[in-house]
Amino acid sequence: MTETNGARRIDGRRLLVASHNKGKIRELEFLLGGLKMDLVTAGELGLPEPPETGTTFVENARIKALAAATAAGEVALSDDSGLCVEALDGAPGVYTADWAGPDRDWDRAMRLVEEELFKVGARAPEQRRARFVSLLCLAWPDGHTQEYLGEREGTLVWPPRRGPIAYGYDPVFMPEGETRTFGEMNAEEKHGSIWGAPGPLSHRARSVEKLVAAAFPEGIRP
Amino acid sequence: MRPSRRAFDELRPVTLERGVSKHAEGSCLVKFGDTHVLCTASLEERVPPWLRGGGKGWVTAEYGMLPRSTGDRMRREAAAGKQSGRSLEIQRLIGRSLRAVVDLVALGERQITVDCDVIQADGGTRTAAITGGFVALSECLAWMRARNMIGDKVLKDHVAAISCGIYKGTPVLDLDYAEDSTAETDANFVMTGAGGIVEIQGTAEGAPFSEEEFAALMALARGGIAQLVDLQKLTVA
Repeated sequence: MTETNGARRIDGRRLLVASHNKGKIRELEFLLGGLKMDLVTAGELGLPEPPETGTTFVENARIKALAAATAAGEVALSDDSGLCVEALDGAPGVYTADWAGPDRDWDRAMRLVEEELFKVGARAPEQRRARFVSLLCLAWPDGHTQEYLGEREGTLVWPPRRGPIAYGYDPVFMPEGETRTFGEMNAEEKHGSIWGAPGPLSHRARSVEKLVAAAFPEGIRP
Repeated sequence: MRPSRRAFDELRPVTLERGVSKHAEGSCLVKFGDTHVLCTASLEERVPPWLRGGGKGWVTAEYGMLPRSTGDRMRREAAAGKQSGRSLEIQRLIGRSLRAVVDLVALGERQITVDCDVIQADGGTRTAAITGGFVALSECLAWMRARNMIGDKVLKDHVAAISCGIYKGTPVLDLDYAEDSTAETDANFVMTGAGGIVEIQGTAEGAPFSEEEFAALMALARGGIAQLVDLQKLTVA
């Protein structure tokens, strides 16, 4: 594996989001909404969804972003994300969505994690530490990529605690320093105020903050 | 304007390439711009005599520069029969930095030696060595873990290092040789992924520097190290 910090910036005002996942697109729209950047999704352009054959977040993020960038001939942004549970050696990790099965049954996915934690005897909060990872990849049609990592530490609670929007494992993830799960927070509370003010940021807000600072045109932040 | 035309808070292009050695349990070729350092991590099933029977392992480092890593050929230290004071000081810094993030008890009674050899020097060789040495070390630990020699809690955090300095009155990040040789102040920062400080080395050349200037350097270092740790995570993950 070779990793290089890239220094390219997007020079247009339009960004292709290489995702077909509605929850993910909604979060990216929320996080990038205040910027003067038009988002268009892979679904709107009728681009196919490439198989995610990688074994790391980086590999999968690159597969998705490069597929969209080369097919559409423009800069594309992908997000590969997941939940890494410490007591489960980082599982489900890159296979986070797979644990929900083909019909994306998140209740099943959360129950599976709980069963695995039970098997290894992880009952106390300190044995139930987990982190959410968001790995953003920006890809250019010539094959160049740049990656941005966002992480949020927390613990897993059971039973799931839902709220206004239940997305993925949010109802069982309680971020460090909080008394509520991501599932019980609205978007502002989950992602925090990302432009400068300190706040309890989500993993995706953190990766987006790095992406915008490093690769968006100068002066695009509100 | 910096000689490299970089922004004051901009790192040089940084590359971490792991798995570059056929023989070593862990390895990384690290490049901070034109500074290139080869780091290998070697495992030995024994510890130094003063640690024997203590149930603890050890992580140590050695540092050296190849003769033509510099503008003029440098005499090999082997030819002089001993290491220079500078090499000794740097290798101790690398060893301390890596040990700061290793649980030596969880490692067990064995030693990992991280060798850092400078192929090409253009400023910041010690900070590149620490940053790349961590990748070699973590690859070595992954090698051990795949063989059930250790559990997964040996590494407590990431560690990386960067230099900052005051160049023509402006605090700047990641000095290259052109800046390093003329900077009024230069400082090396070693920090963990969680932001903990492992070591700070700071020196003024000529005029002393103020606490405010130090705080500016510290803030630059924090930003640079956060980027390096992200890159380490991408490389190791």
